Amino acid sequence: MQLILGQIIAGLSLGMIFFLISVGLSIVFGTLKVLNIAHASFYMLGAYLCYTVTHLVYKSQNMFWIALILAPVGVAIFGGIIELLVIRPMYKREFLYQLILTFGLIYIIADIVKLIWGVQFYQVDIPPQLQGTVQFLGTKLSYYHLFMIALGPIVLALIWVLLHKTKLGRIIRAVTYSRDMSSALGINVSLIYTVVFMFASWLAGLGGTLMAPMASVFLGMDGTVTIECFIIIVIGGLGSTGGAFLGAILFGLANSIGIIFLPKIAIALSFIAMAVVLIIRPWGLLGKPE
Amino acid sequence: MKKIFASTGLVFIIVLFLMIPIAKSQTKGLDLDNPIKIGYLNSFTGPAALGTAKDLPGLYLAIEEINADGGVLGRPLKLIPRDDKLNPEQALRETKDLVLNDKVFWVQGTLSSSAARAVSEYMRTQKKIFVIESAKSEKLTAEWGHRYVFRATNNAHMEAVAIASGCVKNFGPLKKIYNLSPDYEGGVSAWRTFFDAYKKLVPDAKLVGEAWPKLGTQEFTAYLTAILNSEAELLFTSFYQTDALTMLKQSIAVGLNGKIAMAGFWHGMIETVEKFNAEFYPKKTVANSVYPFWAIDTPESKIFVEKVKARQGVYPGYGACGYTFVKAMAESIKKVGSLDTEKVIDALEGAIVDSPVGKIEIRGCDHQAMWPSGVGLIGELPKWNMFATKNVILVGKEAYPTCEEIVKLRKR
Repeated sequence: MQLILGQIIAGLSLGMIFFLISVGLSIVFGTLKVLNIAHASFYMLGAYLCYTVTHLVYKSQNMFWIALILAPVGVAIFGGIIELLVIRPMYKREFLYQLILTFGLIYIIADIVKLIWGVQFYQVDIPPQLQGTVQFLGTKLSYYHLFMIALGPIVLALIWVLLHKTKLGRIIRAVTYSRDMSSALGINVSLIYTVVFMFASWLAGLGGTLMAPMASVFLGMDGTVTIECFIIIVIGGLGSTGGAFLGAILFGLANSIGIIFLPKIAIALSFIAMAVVLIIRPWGLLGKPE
Repeated sequence: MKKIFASTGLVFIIVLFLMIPIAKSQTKGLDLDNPIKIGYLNSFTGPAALGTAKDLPGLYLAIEEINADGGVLGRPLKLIPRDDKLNPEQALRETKDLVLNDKVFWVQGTLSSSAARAVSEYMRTQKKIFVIESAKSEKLTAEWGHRYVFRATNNAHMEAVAIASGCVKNFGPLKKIYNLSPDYEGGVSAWRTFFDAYKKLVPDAKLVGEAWPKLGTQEFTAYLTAILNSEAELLFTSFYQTDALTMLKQSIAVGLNGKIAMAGFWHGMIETVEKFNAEFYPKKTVANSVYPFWAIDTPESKIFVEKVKARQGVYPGYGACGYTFVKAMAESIKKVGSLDTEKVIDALEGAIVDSPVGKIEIRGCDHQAMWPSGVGLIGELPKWNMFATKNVILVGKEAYPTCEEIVKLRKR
């Protein structure tokens, strides 16, 4: 029993990390109708910026808190530039072109990272306030993981408030619903697209910044989470924020509980879950059929 | 649509033309010197480029020393590095170019075992020498071995045997083993070889749990809590480099570090240990590495480390093996007195060569350098101001399969 509880908590923490990484992907697809394969590259960029702020700007463990603010903003600005220069000319083209373009972006961003930070891999320390572990339901859990578990719902709430309680949110939802109608009503759709893309980049950057103290920062860290992000948003429903949240939790739990019962196929379980969802509800758990 | 294709094609052609003068000027320089050329394949891009950065300084040092000493047969050595992108096709393409156009005398390098195999098969048809460097699959010099392929480093099989003996020596006969290894060929075979070797030493050892996350996993917590709540006494893991560090971070976070003895396959490699410090190193961990220079007290080793450090500002890793083999090759060519590949192979077979880790035999039956694996318990080394393997034992020839076993494997 204690074992299962421990795994549930570990699975939740895994799910929350992947929620933060994948929700931006879902938002971009929902509004811009662009499947940004390079989304995880923004996550990697966030992790590298976190390293830069904590080690190169001023070396201190407490600098993590500054990095938590600066790094995602840096990624958002970078995302804005990418949207303006590269993605914008692609909206009117076929879907395939967008795929090829964003696929190419993975390599371009990887090369940019290599130019700036080299091939070395880096370590970021956990901030002193979040070091240590706590005994929880018979299993040990680090404060840092608790912090990440708590951040997931906060970010979900933040997105909900932004989309449903603000004027900008209403405009974004209108643009999501009908680009042409919004345009006819005098909404600057291009600007909204840039803002949404920047927000999604900010979320990916936040995920990368949060992951930096828990993992290694290295070239290729984007590739390992890309597939997971796709699984999660397919399970939850493309374009659905709540779906990404649900999908991430299911993904985390399938993974952590699968480890105990079916260790040899644990990493395949999430794929199986995705296949089942695609057969029964092709539009995802919380998505809407077209 | 057509316009796009046309303009893309144009740009491509312009780029091609721009590249011609560069290629020309390079070959011109070479012809004047008439050097003996060595083709070098490794990954210069992507995550594996760090290993190359630790390897190349060793090779360049060997070549520099040989050339300063009058070269080989009155000709200097020259390294031609190429990026194989860890990809068998790319490696093969580059090898063909090196052999046919650059007319290299031998090719050295590769990290990916599948790339190494592709190159090896090609070199067999060309009757040219191929020296494998960091590719570790034991099959390359066993089942798949042939007259024209050599290996300058140890292989995964012997390292697994070495770390098994290191575990028993440091921890005693622990019986309950948990395996946490990456879900790919290298991870599976490392575990299998380790467990076979371990069971020979501790016959009643049993597997109490296993998990197979993928290479590059960034969240190990679920695996680590499962291990923490299991009855395991010894954790075997063949996650290395960045994965090993990620795992270490999270195992400190969940309080696993030091609770269970660990066999960290390749955790003693310089790329990994140079990231360790007093708060951040795997406790109760037996690890291995190809060149634990901190534990080798010979003047040769000290001089080699100093030279590489002075040259590139890095500590050497695989470079020690590359360095040794380039020197061995130069000696063999000198001995033969000509660039006759067959005669040079005969001279290399069974040769005892000097290396930073002492005398090394290049075994005649499988062309495998009897390079040792340094196994020890990770701890503080105040003298070097670093955390790395302590009380290192160099496990050597005894961990390799015998020549009879190799012959049997090749017959199958």
